[in-house]
Amino acid sequence: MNRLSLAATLIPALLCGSLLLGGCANLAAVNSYAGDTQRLTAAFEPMLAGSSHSCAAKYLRKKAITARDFDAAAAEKAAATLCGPIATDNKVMTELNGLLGQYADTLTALADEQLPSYKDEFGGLKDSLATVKRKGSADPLFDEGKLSAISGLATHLSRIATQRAQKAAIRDLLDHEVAVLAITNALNDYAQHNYRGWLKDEQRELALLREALDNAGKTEPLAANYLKTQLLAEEKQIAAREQAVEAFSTSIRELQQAHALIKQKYDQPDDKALAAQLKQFALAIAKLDQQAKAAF
Amino acid sequence: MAQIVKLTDKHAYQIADTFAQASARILDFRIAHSAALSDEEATELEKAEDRLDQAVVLFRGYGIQLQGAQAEEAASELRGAIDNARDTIATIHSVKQVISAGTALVDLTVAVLDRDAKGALAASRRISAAIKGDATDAA
Repeated sequence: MNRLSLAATLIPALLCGSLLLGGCANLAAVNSYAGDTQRLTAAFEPMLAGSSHSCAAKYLRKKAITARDFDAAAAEKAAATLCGPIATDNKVMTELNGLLGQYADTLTALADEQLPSYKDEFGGLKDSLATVKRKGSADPLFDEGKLSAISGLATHLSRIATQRAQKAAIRDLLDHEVAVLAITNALNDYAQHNYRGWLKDEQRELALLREALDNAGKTEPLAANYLKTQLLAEEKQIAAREQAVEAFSTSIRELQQAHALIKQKYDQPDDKALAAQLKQFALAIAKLDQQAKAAF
Repeated sequence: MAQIVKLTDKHAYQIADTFAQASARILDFRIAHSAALSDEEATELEKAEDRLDQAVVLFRGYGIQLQGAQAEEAASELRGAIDNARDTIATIHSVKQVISAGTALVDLTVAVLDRDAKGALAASRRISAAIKGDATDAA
């Protein structure tokens, strides 16, 4: 075995061996999963305000086009009264989404490569010990070799102890898969059944309002055409929001599959199935980001 | 004896959707028969739509409450897990603070032995900063 291949074999073995008590954790995988989960929670946020907005926009649009006695200020006030409770109801979802965000943040903090590193702290101690002199002499108490040995051993032991705690805490967080499933399912159900419900209501009424404008166009073509153009733009916006809901649901499915795999394999640094699933999750999130930007 | 029906969040959302469809049907009728309807009739129909629209808001809100109640156990479990993990991170950081404080203590001892007042003051500031966990002052 030549020197290069010996080194290639020994270095990973020594690295894992030094972590004998803790084992090798796939921190990059945990970071990737946590980062994409954080982005998912950010993409959910606009749907909450979106429900209130959709309710008010639908009400005002209908009144402006079909009311016999339209009063803009009164309609705006009535829309606020009708749709106001939505923001209060949504607080439950804001909390669940925030909790998922905190979960992802905590995983990111735990998966920090620098967390078990004591390089800075023990480096300082080594420098300080180097200034300690022998009693009644200007000679240093510790020579360079002794100083390096002391700080090297202290760093090594602390790192092992911390890595154990770090790995156990990550394992504990990942073990709460059922809770993560319940919360992500709740967010998905909100997106699909609540927010999407508002979007469908808007779409249904837009078709009817276009018919009303066709009738009005016979006597007031200019106003009718102007409003039809507005309705078309709003229809496109609603379609983009529906696509954002779809992209969100796809991302939730990928998150749940990623969680199941990372829970099983997060101490296997080179697992191909885990890497592929995390890539799928990242792609779904990139599409969700793009869709959310177009929609909100 | 009346049977108690337990409503799920999905039921609540379905009921809300049904109210929304009913409201749209009345709107459809109002638009299609606009010319034939008197002002009074049209206004009455509009009020009926408003009441149905209120029911939509009510049942979608109820759906959220039911979802929240179902997820509460999971949320409470996750809150506990996050707290435990944060405790671990805090413990690791406090070990680092102890090492930083220990380093400054060595400096303080050396400065005192050397009768270096400036050095002793700086080291004692660093001990205080390390105990408080202020990385900038401790450095």
